[in-house]
Amino acid sequence: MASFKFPTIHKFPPFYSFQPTQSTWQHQVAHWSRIILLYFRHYRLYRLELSESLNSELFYNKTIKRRLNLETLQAIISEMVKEGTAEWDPPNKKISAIIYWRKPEEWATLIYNWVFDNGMTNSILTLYEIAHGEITEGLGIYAYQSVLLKALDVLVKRGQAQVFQGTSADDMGVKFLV
Amino acid sequence: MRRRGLGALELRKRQGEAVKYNEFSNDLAKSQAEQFKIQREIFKTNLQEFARKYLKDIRKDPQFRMHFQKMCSNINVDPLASNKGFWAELLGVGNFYYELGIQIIDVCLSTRVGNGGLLELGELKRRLEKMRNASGSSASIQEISEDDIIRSIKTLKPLGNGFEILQIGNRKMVRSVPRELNIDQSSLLTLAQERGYITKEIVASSLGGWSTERIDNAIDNLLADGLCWIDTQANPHEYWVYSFFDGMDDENDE
Repeated sequence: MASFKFPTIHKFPPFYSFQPTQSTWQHQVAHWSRIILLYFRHYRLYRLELSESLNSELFYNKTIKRRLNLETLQAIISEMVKEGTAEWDPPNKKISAIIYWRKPEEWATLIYNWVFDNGMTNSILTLYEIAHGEITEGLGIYAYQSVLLKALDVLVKRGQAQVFQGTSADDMGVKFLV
Repeated sequence: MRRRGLGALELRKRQGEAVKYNEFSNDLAKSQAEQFKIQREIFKTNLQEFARKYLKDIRKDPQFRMHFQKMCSNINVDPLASNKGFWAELLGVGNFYYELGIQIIDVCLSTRVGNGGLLELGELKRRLEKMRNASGSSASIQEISEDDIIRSIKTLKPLGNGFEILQIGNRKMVRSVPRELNIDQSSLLTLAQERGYITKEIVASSLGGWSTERIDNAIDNLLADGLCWIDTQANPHEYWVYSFFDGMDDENDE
């Protein structure tokens, strides 16, 4: 996979320090959240372990020797949670988060369209089959389970899917409706 | 010895001459003015003909447009003075500059949060070109020059305070916030051009005689206005001017 190309601001030394001016901070958050989403999408990542990630190329620019600190990253992710592009997991503990580089609604549409196009409506699939089988392969994605569950929720609300609880989450059955 | 005074006759004669001279010079001035008026009319007519003939070039070629503008202003003709005027109608230049003006406002406002309302002229030009290339069909793309941008910004004047071109060191900056940069802020920005940033130490050693309070105060103002970003991981702290960082925002507006 080609390596991710960071935008110019990723080389801007103060980008790694918390900006005390409110308007500048908003700008800083907007850029960080955009970079995080693009980066996660590029490498098909879903889960962000905050402390660990501070050593990755995403938050640590070795060329200019600048690194984001934990408090600033937490503040950035908190803003993303407000925007609906991230979710603390587990909730209320700011140590790791799921990054939604595609919203559950978009996943839902993608999954349903694939099922429909492949004539699999009206058949029952288990969650495991969906997560590891043809669907996600067909879509070229590995769908993170909690992201997948959210997407299925959306389909149920739309009346495009029906869910049967199994003994475990993997056994959960899903019927896609026409 | 008796001094001979002027004879009455002589006096009258001289007065008469003075009147004649006056009349003559009036006539001369009048005819010269007439002459000039006629010449100016001829020149104006020629200019119009010229404009008609080179309409395409004026619209397309920014260099040509600048020279034409200069020629017009030499005889007090301002193609921009009125949107309804002959010139604007003939050339469509009025519309051109107003349209460009709107695009300038657009770019300045959309980048204001990051740069605090101070945008380098070259950067503005690049962004405008990108915007115009994206929106127009290939036939309507007109090249623009920095001169066009400066003219356009001048047409924005009647909209009230706000847009202005500042010379900071050797850079032309477009200011889009309705506040004055004070002298201290300008001095710091000029100083920051060298490296892209300043530190309190650099200010103290370069601008002799500034007290610590004055330096702190000026830097705080730059931060508060969003013109500067602070880098607390540098020792001593560095204050970076966002709009001086090359290539900023290039990839950020897909």
